[in-house]
Amino acid sequence: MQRQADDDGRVLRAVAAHDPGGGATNEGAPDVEQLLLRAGRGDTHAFAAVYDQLSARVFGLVRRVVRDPSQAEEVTQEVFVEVWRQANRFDPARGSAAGWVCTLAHRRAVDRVRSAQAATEREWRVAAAAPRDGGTGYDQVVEQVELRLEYERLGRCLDGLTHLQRESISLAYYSGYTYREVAELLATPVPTVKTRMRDGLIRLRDCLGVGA
Amino acid sequence: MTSPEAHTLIGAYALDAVDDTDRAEIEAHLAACPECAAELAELRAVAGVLGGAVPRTPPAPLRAAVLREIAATRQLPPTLSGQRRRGQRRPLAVAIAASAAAVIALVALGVVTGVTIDQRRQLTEVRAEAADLSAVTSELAARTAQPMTGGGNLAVVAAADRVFVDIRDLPPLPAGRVYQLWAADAKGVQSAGIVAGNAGRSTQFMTVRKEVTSIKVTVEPSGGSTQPTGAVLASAPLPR
Repeated sequence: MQRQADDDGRVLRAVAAHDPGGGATNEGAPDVEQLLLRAGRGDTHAFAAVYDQLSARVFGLVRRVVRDPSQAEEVTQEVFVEVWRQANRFDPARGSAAGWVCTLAHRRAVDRVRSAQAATEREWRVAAAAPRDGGTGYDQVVEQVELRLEYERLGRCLDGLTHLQRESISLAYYSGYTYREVAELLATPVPTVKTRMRDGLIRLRDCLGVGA
Repeated sequence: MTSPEAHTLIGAYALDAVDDTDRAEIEAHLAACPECAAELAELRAVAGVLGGAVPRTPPAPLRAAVLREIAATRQLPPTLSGQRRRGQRRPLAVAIAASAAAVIALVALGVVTGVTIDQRRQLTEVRAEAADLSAVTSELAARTAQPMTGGGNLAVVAAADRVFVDIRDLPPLPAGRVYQLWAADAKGVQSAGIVAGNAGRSTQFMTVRKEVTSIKVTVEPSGGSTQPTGAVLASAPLPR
């Protein structure tokens, strides 16, 4: 289990280590919010553009959580079909398109890992196993991390968290564990883990300057 | 579960790190606590940043597979929460607020602002034209002005069925009396309206039947009469 925690922790630290000078932004790209709104009115071309802009995020996140490459593809496909079905529910006043799609993707990925494996066994099996696909060692993952200013800032902000905050958030978000499972993995009382997740996110929010 | 306890779950909830029981509890809590919902939105945004931090290009065939599937997938109908259901009236205040919100949204988009400026410019132009035409018409009318019995002058300019009536220097009337216009033809007269204002100058455009040969003025009781009861103070022939 410690290995799992370390693995996620290293990804975050590696994200933190990126050179801020290499930041690339999406300037000039079509506004994904507008594209998603158009997709919500049945525009399949706009939807294809949404896919092009967000598929790497979704696939990266889903694969990070699900681990298994072929399952990650399945889930990614499910996610985008769901994005299409629900696109007219997207409200840009309530958050970015990327955030909306990401929330949907994460939930699906987590549902997949929780249903795919018996909850009673899962954490121990995964913890005992080496990372199942050698291709997602952190070096490879880091190579794929887009050098965006946002994530460089994320890295610096993650450095500002306590170890427990960072590990709690990482295990929950990237590995799809419930807070009770995280408490078990970190041998920490459940209320403490719940609190660390919340105050860690709040600290990240304040550091990132992320609005809703 | 008490609210404070439910509230500490908000971080775990934002990370999808809760089971179904917890989820139901915190969603009930969120529904009753707008500030909590706002906090959740912010924490979800943080999660979104985490979610975007590990991008990885999916295999190329996935795109075609997704596009194939969505082409055969029906989209959800729009939610009804923001809509009027059939037969259900929105309270006026809600309707006004919604309209105001729509206007604000349009202003934000620059739509209303643009239209307003454009409309103002048009309105200014129209007013200037109207003032010019009015001045010219009054000048023309003044050439045909005839004195009215008891004071004042009546001038009429006609073009086809459109008639411009210009009455000037009307002496004030006692209370309960009005000046009334009449359109006269070979068969009789019909009211052409009450003169706005009981003194000074009054102008108005009116449409008359082609049989009308003259415009006459009388003094009538307030509210006007269906047929003239007072003496004709002036009669202006229409060129036919």
